[in-house]
Amino acid sequence: MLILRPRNISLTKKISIFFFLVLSSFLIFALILFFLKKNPLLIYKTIFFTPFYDFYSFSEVIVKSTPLILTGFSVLIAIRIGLWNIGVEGQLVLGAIFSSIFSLYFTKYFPSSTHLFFALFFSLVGGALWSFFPIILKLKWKINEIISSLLLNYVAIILMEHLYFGPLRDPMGFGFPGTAIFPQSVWLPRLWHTRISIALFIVLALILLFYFFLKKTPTGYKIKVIGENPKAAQYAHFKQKKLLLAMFLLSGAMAGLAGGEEVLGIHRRLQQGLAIGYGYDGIIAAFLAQKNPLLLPLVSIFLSILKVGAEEVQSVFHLSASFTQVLEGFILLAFLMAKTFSEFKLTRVKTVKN
Amino acid sequence: MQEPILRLSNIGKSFGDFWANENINLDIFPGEIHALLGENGAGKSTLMSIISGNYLPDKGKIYLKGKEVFFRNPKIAQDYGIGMVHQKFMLIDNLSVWENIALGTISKFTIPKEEILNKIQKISKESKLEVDLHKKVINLSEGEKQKVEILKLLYKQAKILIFDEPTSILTPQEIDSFFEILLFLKKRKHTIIFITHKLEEVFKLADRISILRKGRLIATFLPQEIRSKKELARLMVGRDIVFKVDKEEIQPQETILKLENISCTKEKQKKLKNINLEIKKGEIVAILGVSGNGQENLARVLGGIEDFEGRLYFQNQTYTGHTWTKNFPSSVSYIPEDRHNLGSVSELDLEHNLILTRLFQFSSKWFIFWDKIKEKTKILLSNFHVKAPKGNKTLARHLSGGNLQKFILARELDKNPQLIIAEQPTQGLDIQATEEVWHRLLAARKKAAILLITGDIKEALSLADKIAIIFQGEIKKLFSSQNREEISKIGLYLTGAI
Repeated sequence: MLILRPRNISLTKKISIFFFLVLSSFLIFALILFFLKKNPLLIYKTIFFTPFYDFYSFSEVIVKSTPLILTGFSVLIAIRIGLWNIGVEGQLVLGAIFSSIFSLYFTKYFPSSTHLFFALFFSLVGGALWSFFPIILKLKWKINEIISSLLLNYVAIILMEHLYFGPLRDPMGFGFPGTAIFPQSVWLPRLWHTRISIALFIVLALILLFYFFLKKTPTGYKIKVIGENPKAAQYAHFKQKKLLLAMFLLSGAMAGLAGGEEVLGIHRRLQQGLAIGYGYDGIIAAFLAQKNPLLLPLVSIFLSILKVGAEEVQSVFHLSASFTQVLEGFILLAFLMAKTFSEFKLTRVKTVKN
Repeated sequence: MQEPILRLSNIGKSFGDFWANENINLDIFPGEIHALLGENGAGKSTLMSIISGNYLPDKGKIYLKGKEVFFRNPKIAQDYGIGMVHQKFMLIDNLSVWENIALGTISKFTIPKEEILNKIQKISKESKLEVDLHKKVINLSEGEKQKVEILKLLYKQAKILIFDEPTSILTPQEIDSFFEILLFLKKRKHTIIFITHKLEEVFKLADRISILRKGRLIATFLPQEIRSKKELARLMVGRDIVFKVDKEEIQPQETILKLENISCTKEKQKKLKNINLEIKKGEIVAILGVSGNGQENLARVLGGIEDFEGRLYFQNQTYTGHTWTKNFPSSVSYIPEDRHNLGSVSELDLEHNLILTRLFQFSSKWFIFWDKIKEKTKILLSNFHVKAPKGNKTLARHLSGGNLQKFILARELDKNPQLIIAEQPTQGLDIQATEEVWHRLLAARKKAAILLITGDIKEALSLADKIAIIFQGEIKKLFSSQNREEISKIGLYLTGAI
């Protein structure tokens, strides 16, 4: 019979276990590709070489990873205080909606140098507003935030579709589902002739700030304690409700910022193709980053490489791009297994026939 | 010589690097009452869990009636007639007594209720274990619950019954009737193994005594081979132990805490009824009671975790339930019974745990002073003899129960509190750690008032200046710990007999 026994091993061993398992997940996936009569080697080569083919290709990886870092950050903020925000997708959409409405209708009331600032600010407000409902339901009536935040995703997406199919549709857009292009004053400045915008650096700064906030400040300490053990936090007489509310709103605001970053930096309008699952991918990113904000950028870039590679595979090999989601799933599974096997070993126990 | 019914050969079990059991050889004979004695952490419960199939041994073999057996899970051990009553009862509160007893034995699609009831009734009559079978378990007393646990084993035709500290939560009266049950079971040719660290019980009941120390079996004795309790205790600990605590006389000073008509209701049940109490600086007042009589609530109320009605005076200030929980004074130290989940954060290191209740001392508005914390943690670990494998950076969950308690004590006493609420401070600690905690508390009373909430009579007598008996949420009696006449009646007070 096989059982798990606890063990203590070095970090290098833990890392090698992880890579071994990731490698085997690639092998299993290769087997699936093989049965689909595709050449797995060629496909892997495409996935992992395309992003590094030239500078522009790699810049696309960074472009894709920016919203992912933010949604991962959003999930991670909530996790640190012991909450699950599954509503990141919806909050992202609301952030984009708020940002868009400001950009389309309200810029004229403000001096143009403040447009971008306000457009980003309203994306924060939109996301925070959408996260306000689940957290207030939780704090007032103990309604599970996982379910309520998840359900609000669908509301947000339908609301957005209504807006760009209806009242906000560009009258000159030949029926295209989307708003008019925003005025240039709200565009996020792009760098180095790529689609990378300054949003990336805002995001990285925010993550660094959060890291030091957790580590150095009394409030950060309280958040860690509440996240690890709410009963001990009660024992220590920390004011929990206020912090839970604040952190969930911050989580929503970060998701909203991801939406704002997408419409202001990439599309420059609100249009179809905004809600493509960054919110859900954020959950995976936060999980792989192991609650550590500093690991988020690395994890997000890795996941983005898969995404960019997959798009290339789709056009070259006529494989649906969603197949990378299968691979993502395998990797997450490998990661979870690695976590278990770095703390436990599988041992065979001799059994006696009774 | 008789053939042993159960033989353990070279049993070993490790948790990480720590060997909880090592090279244990033990024979159990049919029909005997075998006492397993040892300090906390000596490996008694681990060994019994191996016999009952809850743990798999890493090494060694188990023989039942001479044949090697392998207990992959408790069910298999049960099929071989081995059953265990755990220290914390494994009953389902919302089910009735008979449902609890029959649980896990029904393999048919429908439940043959009549058949089951008849069978249980027959067993309970034969063994004189009478409980109302239709009552819900939640409404039973601890003693009744234990009877249900025993019935459960008999219903499953257990021949070898294992008890893990069976008397720890019973009232003295319940203990007497439990002993009768054990002797009756013995007469019916059942084999009984019981774990304890109460020496009196061993002399009263056991046919043979095995002593475990640090995971190893020291020896097995007949009771007449051991001359005195003191000798038995020495065998357990490996050195002479002092049963008396030397207590320095201290003159009580000003009143620190006064409770006026404190009541507390939870889930529509009155947990505390009009508690009045006064504690002075330099004084230890013990709240003594059998668990479940409201002392848990009193601890939580005073610790500022649970709301209450009535008034509380602390250092010339009046508090209500609301203001006490909202503006809990930092000069109160609460040492909770649940040290793993309430008193510490198991996934954080000791530096983080040090500031759990002392954040205000080690931070400004914006920054935490980690350098100071590091230094302080180091000093406290060495002063209080806390064994921490990775020093300051040890996670709280990697400390043993005794060391974690010493750490929490260090944290709270070093705060220089005016009032200390110590809830079951030595529960689950070995004799050495208990002594240390006691001395620390006695020393602390020079600067503070101490409320000791305990179920351990010896602890109350050793430490307290006054003893308050709590029964069904009320303080029934308050007397000096020097009052011999009242002390002789403690057992009666605790059970509500007078």
